[in-house]
Amino acid sequence: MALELVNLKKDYAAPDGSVVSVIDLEHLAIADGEQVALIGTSGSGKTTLLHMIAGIVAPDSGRIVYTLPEGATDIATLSEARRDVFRGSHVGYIFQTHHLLGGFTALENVLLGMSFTGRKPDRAWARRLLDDVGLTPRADYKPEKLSVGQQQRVAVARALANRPKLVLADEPTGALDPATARQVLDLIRRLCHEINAALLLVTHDLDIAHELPRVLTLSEINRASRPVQQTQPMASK
Amino acid sequence: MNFFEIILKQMRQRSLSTWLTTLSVLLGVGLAISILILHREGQNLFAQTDFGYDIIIGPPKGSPLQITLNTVYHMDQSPGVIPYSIYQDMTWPTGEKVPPGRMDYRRYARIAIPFMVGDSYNGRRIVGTSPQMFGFDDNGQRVTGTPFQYRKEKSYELAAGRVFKARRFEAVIGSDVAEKEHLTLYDDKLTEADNEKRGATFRATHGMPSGNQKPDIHKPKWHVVGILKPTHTANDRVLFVPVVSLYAIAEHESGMVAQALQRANVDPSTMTPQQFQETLRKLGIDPKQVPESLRKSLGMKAARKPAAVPPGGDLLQDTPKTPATAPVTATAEGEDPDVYHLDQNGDIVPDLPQEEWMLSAIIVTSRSDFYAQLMMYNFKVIDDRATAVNPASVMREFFNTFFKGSTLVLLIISILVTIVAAASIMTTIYNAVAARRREIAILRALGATRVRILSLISFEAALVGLLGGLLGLFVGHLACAVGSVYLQRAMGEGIHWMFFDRWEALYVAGVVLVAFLAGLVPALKAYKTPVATNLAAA
Repeated sequence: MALELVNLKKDYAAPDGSVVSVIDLEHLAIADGEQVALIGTSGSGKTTLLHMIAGIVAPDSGRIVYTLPEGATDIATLSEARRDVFRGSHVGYIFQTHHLLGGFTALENVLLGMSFTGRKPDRAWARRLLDDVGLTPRADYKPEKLSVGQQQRVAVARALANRPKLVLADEPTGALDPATARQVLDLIRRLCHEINAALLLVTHDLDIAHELPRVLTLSEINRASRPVQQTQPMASK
Repeated sequence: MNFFEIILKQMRQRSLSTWLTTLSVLLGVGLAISILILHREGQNLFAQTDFGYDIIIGPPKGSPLQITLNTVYHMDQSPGVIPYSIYQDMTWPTGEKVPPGRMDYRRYARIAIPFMVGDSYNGRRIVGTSPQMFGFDDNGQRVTGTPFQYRKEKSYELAAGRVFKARRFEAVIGSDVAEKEHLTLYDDKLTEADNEKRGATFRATHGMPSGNQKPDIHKPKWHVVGILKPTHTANDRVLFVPVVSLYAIAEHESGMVAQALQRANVDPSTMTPQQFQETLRKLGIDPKQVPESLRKSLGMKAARKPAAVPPGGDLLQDTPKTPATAPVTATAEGEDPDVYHLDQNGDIVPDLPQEEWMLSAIIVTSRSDFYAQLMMYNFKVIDDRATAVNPASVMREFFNTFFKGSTLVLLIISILVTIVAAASIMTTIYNAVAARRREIAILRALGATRVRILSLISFEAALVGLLGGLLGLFVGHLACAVGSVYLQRAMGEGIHWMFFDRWEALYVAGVVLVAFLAGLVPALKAYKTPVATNLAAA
């Protein structure tokens, strides 16, 4: 799978009525199985960009093209419901905090990631993933019984549950101590490599970023996150 | 995980509020279901039209409902008495000319059964009647033609023993009485004392004393000669005795003479003894036959025991003048005096003249609907000695005016309770959705569409409705089972509480639908939950 973002724009309305441009990205391409780090400061639009790539947020303009074996899909043109289904099937998402569901065990959280694709959940694969992240003994534990690092590892397993073509990781090590952060990062990279999923990892930690073969700085590719920003009245949009 | 596993997980996550909401649905549905069952079964029980007889003749002042409840269901107090002569008017021997001044109801009534209440045994009603009730005549022969039916096509059948003789202290008892009171058949080979020990005899208590009243137990002892098969009616709880045996009880005799005096507005205190005796004769009462127990209260002199010969043999025949052969036994200290003697056949001959005999009611099977109407008309317009009621129409009217209306009100209340329960579902899940916006956002991020989220929430509500509905269905039937036990004890007839009908299914389906619709409100809130902001808020 390859991902290509072209002329992607996203504006938000500020409380004072003005329009704030968050994303103004001319071009970004990620190749099949490529692992890319994206560095950006807080508020630079990293999460918004990931949300757009995942189809959670629709861009105001531009294209988000996934090239899959079955063909290319510009998810910017899809309806919200079809974006949701596309995301469930092809995109894995790892959040800064684990975002596990409290009432579900570690295994059920992984299975939950498989529940919205229309395919039958693959329980054996879920167990294999938990084994890969070293949590087989904790498979039936609820998140509250796991450490922060273990919770994040379950989140990694969940993100890979559908064998996605692209894994989006939004500061996945931000809440972890350095040693655990490195373990989790290695885990993400290894598993993505195993399933041949591309990885776009957003971080503000340069050390973490430089672990990955390709490092991008958001301010370089996103015109909206450069220091001088143009604002314009909402009405002109 | 499949769709329903996710819903169940969500419900378990909030188990307390889920159960409380389910409980509120359960109460509403349980109430509604029990009312539906009671309405249905009440209709079967009270609005029944399958009586084996079509007329009950009762006291003129008694309400039709009271007469019917008292006679059919053995409930309530007897509303009064009617002259035995009415019964005679229905059963004059075929071909016999009716005496002048008497009515002839023979052409109207195919079967007439005397019915006399007033005594009890261990709280169970004793009914004085004739062997015709069980398909036998007074001579112990099976009646020709269709015997008396307590319900259409249902006649009494004996499980053991035989039918009592018309003029003996014998009894045929209902199946429930036999079982619960441990009464058994009298064995002639055993002594009276042994039979008493075995529970083959019983003595009647005057009236139906309440717990704190001292029971007034009559002197005569009845032998159990027959046990009926279960009829699943109130009659299973009754002890049937010959009506004549009830006239052989001192209090009854005194009561009937006193009632005759009262009816004639006779006050002995305002008369000379000669005037009083003359008045008694005019009323058809031989002054010498006034019971000793009553003589004192009326200020009369004590009389020798009656030498007059009361009727014997067939109750319906005029008095055969056979001499009394059995001497009246001496009255035991503190006990009632005997007010009867036995003839040479051992049959009871009450001291009380037949003209003073009274009945609580007469159960009549008419010859046709037309004759039933004629008889009703007769007792309404011409014959003021009694009133005639049609039990089927009385019970239908009772059901329509009282039972149907009240159950409708209760049904409306239960529907309101169910709606409140639905509102409770809505509130509970709405609050849950408000607290679970982050989880909803996570599910969306994992690929759940808005419609899927809407379905998850509304189906959760429907599932709570279904769970509460099914439990309510169970509880409703259980409550009716308890009610059935109570009704069985009170009326001798239970209800079919296990029977499940389509209205119940429709009601539960309706509850699930209402719950689903109630769940749509929070589901729409979940539907609109913005993903990005809620993920960020976490």
